[in-house]
Amino acid sequence: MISEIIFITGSMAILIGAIYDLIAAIGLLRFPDFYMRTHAATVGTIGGAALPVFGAGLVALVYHPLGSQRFFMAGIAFTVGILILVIAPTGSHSIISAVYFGRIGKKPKLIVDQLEEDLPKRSDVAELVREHEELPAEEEEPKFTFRRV
Amino acid sequence: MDITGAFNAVLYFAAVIYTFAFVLYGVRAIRGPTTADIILAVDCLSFDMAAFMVILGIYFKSIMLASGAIILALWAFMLDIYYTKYVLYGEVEV
Repeated sequence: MISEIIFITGSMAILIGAIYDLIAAIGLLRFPDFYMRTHAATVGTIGGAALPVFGAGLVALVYHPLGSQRFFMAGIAFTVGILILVIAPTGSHSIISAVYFGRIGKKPKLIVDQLEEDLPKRSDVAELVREHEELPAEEEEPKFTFRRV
Repeated sequence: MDITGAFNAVLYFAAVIYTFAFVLYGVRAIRGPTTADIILAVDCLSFDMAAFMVILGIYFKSIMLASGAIILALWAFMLDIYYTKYVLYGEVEV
């Protein structure tokens, strides 16, 4: 009785995760902007990858044709699920910060961008760099030197 | 209903949807306008491939197939971090 409940719960998790994955793929293909695409991608990683892995772990606990290997399989599945839960938001956040601060691609039209207002402007940073710049060495090495044979 | 037959029915339904999603991710990975879109699509592909490998490991009754999913998930994370370090700092240090 309890094994059937666990199996049905795991199967439902796998099926719901597959549908999440399809929705995330359509969103990643159709959204017009990088930041909106990131929204679809995070749906795809948490709903489409972490949820089916936990469901597969529940299924593997009660799947008798595996024999005694099913506990190993459930352990691997739960390990992968916890890894994805920790890793996927971190990676998405790092990619977004790289795109924002590295100014990659075209920025979408925003009504308010308060992070842009708080950041120092590029001309101020250039002045700071120029003030603290070290003077070049007086004696420069000649560009072309002939080696003594 | 037999447990093997029920799991096979679930697997067939999930495999069709997963394959269709993989094709859509692959389209975005090929024609992404910037490099970040390609990295994002490959990231999603890797995590979903890891999830699908665990399900396939139950179907084929092999532990070795499922244990590759751990490496695949960590590899996707490494890709994100290396891209961020390369864009923001201009170099990749170990």
